[in-house]
Amino acid sequence: MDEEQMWKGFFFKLQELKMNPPTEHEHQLQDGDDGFFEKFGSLLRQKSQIDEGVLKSSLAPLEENGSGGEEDSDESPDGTLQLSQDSECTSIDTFATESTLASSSDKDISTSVLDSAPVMNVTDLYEEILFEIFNNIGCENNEECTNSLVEFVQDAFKIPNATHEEIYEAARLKEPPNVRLNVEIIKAENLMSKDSNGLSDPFVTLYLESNGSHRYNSSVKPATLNPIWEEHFSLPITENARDEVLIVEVWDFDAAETVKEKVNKILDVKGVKGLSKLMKEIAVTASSGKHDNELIGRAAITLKSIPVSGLTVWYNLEKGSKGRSRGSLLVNLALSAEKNKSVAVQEHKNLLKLLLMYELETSQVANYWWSGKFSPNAELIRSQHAAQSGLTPFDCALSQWHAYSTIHETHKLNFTLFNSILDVVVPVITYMQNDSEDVKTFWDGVKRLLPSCFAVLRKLRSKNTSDKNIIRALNEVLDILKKIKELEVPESVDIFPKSVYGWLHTNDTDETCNIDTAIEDAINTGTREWLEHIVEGSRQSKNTETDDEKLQYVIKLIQMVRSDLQRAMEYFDKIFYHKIQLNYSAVLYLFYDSKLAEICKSIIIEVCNNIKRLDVPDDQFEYLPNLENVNMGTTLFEVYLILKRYVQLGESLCSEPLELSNFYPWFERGVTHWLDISIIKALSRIQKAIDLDQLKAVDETVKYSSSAVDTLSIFYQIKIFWQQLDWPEVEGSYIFVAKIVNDLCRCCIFYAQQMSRRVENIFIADDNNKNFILSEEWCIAINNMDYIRQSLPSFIKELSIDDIIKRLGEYRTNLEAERCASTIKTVIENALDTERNQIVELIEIVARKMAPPIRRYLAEGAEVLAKDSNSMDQLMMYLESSLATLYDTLNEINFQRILDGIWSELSIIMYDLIQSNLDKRRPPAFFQNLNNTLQTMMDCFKMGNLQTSDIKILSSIQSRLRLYSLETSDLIHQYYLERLENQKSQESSPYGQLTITAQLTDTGLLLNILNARNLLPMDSNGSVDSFVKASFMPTSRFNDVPTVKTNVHNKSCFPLYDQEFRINLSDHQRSEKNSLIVFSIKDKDLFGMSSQYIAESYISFADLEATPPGEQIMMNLSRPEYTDSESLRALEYRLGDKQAKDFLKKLKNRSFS
Amino acid sequence: MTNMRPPQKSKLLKVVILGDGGVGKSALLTRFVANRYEENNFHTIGVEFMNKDIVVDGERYTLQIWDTAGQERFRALRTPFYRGSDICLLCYALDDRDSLKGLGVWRNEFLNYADVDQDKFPFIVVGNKNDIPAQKRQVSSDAVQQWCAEQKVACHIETSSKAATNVTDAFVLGLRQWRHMECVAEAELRQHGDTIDLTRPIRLVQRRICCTGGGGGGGGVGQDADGDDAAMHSPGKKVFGQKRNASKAPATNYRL
Repeated sequence: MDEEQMWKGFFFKLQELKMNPPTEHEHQLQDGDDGFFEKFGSLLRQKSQIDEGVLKSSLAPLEENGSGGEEDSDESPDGTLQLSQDSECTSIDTFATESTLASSSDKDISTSVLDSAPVMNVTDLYEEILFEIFNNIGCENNEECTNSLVEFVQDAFKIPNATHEEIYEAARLKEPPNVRLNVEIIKAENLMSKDSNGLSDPFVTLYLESNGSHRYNSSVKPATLNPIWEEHFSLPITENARDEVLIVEVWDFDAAETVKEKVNKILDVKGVKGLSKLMKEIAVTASSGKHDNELIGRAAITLKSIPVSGLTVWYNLEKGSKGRSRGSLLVNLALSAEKNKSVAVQEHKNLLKLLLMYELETSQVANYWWSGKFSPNAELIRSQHAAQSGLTPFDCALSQWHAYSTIHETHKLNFTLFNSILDVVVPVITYMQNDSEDVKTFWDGVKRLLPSCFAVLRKLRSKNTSDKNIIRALNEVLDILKKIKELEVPESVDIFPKSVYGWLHTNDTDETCNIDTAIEDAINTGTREWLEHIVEGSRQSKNTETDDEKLQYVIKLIQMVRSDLQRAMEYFDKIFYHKIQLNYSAVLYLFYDSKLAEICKSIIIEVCNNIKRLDVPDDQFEYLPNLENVNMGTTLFEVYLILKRYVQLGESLCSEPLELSNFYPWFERGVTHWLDISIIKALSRIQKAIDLDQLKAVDETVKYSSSAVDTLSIFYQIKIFWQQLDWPEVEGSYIFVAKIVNDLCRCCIFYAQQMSRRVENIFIADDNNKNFILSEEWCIAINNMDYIRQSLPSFIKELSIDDIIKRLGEYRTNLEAERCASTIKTVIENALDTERNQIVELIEIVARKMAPPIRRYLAEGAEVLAKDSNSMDQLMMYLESSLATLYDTLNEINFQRILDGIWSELSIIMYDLIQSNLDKRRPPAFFQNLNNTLQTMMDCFKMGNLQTSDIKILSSIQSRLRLYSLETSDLIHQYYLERLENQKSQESSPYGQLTITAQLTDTGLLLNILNARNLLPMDSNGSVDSFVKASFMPTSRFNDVPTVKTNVHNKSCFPLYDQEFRINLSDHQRSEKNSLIVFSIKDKDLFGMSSQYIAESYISFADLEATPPGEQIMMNLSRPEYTDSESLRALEYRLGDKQAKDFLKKLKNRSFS
Repeated sequence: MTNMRPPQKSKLLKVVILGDGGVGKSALLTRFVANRYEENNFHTIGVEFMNKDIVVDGERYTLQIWDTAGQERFRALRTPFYRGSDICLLCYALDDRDSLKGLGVWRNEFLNYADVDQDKFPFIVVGNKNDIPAQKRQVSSDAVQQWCAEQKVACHIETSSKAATNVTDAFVLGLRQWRHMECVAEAELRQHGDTIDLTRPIRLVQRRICCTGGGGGGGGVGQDADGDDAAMHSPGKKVFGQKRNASKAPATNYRL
């Protein structure tokens, strides 16, 4: 009811204002006889309405009046002017009051409009709109259009028919509005000259044809034919505007000097009374002086040709029927209704709301869709109201801003609409005072609009809108915010009230809030709501979920956050940056960073602490634990990788430190668990691979089989895991990689062990065979082990160990880094060496298994003296087939190893054969055959450029075989040759020395035994009775050569024999270089018939030839030692040989004499 | 008559060294393996590994020695290396009373992760820094003996890596303890006849084989291990896996 009362009062005041012109009109009618005074009143009203500060002078031709009329006019104009002035002042005050009331009740009006508005309010506006339709101005007015508009408005305002009829009649009966013709006399050109100086003093008189007595005059522009006035006039139209005609006359002013002087005084006028007096003086002067204004030309303008938007046209001046040109006049014409601007703006706002609401209802427009286009009827009504109210484009835009933002609170409109309105409003608002009504209206609209703008920022993730619409809305919203941000917010305006913006971060602190911080808070608020949404949607009942389910929750959470960031980067980042220079995805990421770190850390650490310790096998590999019930940690690793990629994304987006960057320590126990699982699974898989291995080459180009490939695949997977882990901390990296290296080494050792067992099982089966048949499986096994062994170092290098060690040196000290490098190197070397030993052991096994048939063939071949025996052939066939298999199947290194192994076994076999057959008193032919066999086998083994490491053993065996192959006489001679070598190596002798000269001649030997020195005393008296006997060796070669001996020299240790002997030798005897001359020195016993042996010496024919003729040869004397001679050992085994037995007996006597 | 035999092979044993950070574990290892004392202070990162060949009582052994980081932050990273150990040295420093108290924690950590029978595992308590002045000593012999008695640890020895005192003896002590327990285990196996407990790994001496090559000889300690370590001049850290020398033909030595 209060509103109703207010609106009634408002309406009545409006009606009262509209009644003022007729009252004033009556006064004018009373003063019709005197147009001069009427003109002054019009000037005053025009001044108050146009709000022009400059008073302009105007003169019009005056009519002759009687003296009595003058007296009456003097009193009456005073009263009229005073009354008129008071009335205008009152009107101004009233308008201000009403404007204040209207402004303060904006919210109420808005509320009433949005809800079911009171009938009175809507009814008043409805009547006004009908009134305007009936008095349509401009060329659009016609009967048919009027009816259509009336129907439309009734629907839009939802007025019942009964009420409509009542209001319809009321609108009809209303006085037509005081439509005003706004005229601007701009300028004239090429006027006709009326003065003797060739110029004119022009001024303009204008009036409506229907009211010729009411004239308006412009100022006088002296002495010009091209005057510029730019003066405004507003003429009320009482008749039908369509039928009115405007008359514009241009006059030349002529007056006495005194009149000119008085006109100049107009600037000194003070107050209305002063002006009145001046005008009276001017009139008197003009009446009393001689003057005659001349008409230059006239123009008649029909108002029906003026459109609503106004018209600026040149008119040609005319006078009578003369054809002479009198000049042109430029005039701006516009029609408007007389109305208070504030009231008009208020009406326009309400009209916009009603039309928009009707539009939204009838068109079923979706939210965020309507962009400012009304239906033709609605637009026509709106434009009529704007025109009849005299609203400017700014006024219209501001009204739209107010009305649309109000509607926007309940029915969202397209942001493009607000953006375009801002384009009109912002440039003007910038220059307005903060306390003006328009500024206040503007910021109220901002407050209404901003919540929905920020709602768009918060609701970017809405799934009900297609991406295209989201992007369009975002573009417009950011444009709007950008434009508002550039304005300075008045201090009295709180655009972020807490009641609406509870989500603002600055509400919690004392910081000041602005558009920028609000944007970021809006984004973060939307992000938090989205995060809470996905958290609730992803999480299950917390009490019962398992560790895996918790990890799945983390994965899902991060993936959804990641997709949100991806969407932000793809669709929104560019828009945000272009509009407001904001890194949108960075803002998102920073918000997510702290939240995700909080959520993920507790879950991951809890899960890692729940991991059960695995029972990892020790280095014996006796058993492998059962992993069926063990949590593999696959999900945990997935979480790790997702977090790692997420952090990498963040580091590219943000420059600030991230909380999630330190995620990896949470996984330390997890990583240890994964490594333990990998070693257990690796061992199990290696075992299975070996069991399934067919021990055949994978393809024709390689010599290893499937289990080797499978094992390397396992290593490859471990390497992939490590590379994916990409552990950022260098100390942890070293320890983890040390563990991986250790585990890989253990896998290699395990593989070698299991492969050995696999092959040994094959051997057990093959033991049933008479001869060990070398199988391909065995060779493949060795190749497999060696292939794994060779692959290990280069594979481990790919774990980036060098890089880790280098970084460790930078992080700690080089000394510590070197110790770490040494540890890894030692672990690798241990594994390689262990595996190599495994291979060597396997090779030794096969060599030992090949030994029995080789031994048998050798023994058989040696025993049979006939040349046609097939034992040798069988042996060679066996060896050749075995070595061929080895050569084809083994790789080069292992083939060399097997040759070494076989040769080592051969060495043992040969040694054993020699030893055992010596005991059996085998004849020399036996050993000769054995030697031939050995030579043949050596040739066989050299086919691969054999570089055996047993060369010393080989030489030893060959040497022994050669001895045992000799005949007895040759053995004896061999003994003497050894004695000769021994004699040469001695520096001195306890038995003395013998000096000779000897020379081989064509017929024999010329021997001269010269002397002996320091002979060992043999007699009790300290002297010796010596003689020298020379004989030739071997005796079988010199059996026809007699022994020669010297004379006896008594009692002298330094005997001078000085005897020459000529000994005949055959050519054959002379040509044998290894023939020896044995000099025996004996002591002749006076009482006995036998001689006592002192010592002996030797010289070979080769030595004789090497000595210059005639040169003395000194030889150390010695006695034969019985021990330490291989030849002697061989002779000792020939107990059945009489020659050997006699020689040994004789030698023994000499040795112990 | 032949003297050909397979080459002598050494037994492979894994030794792990535990103790608080800074008690001298790494110095002990460096002195034993390389006969060198490192004056610079440094912390072990995770684990460190070295080899050492040794002859004790006529038997040849290859010790694989794992030195661990004592700092708590490496706990999750060092424990995987405990498994498969044969001997454990528990180290403390004579000038640090707390390091002796901490040995119980170290022993428990080892038992937890190595999965061994605590009554049949050779623990050796090693007191480092025996060269410090008497007034700096914080741990008395009685205190150590009492701790060993409570924890049923049979062996304790004091060493000095700087002065090279008793370093080799500590490892020899562990070796002998291990051999003793192996003999006991074998005796128990024979006593049970054919019954074998398959749930636990069987530790047989014959299965632990690692060829070191006949030509490679590390520094050896004679029967009597009471000598001063300074007299033992090891030629340096032996490189494991020297090229294996071929077997030689036996020397014949007959007398008639």
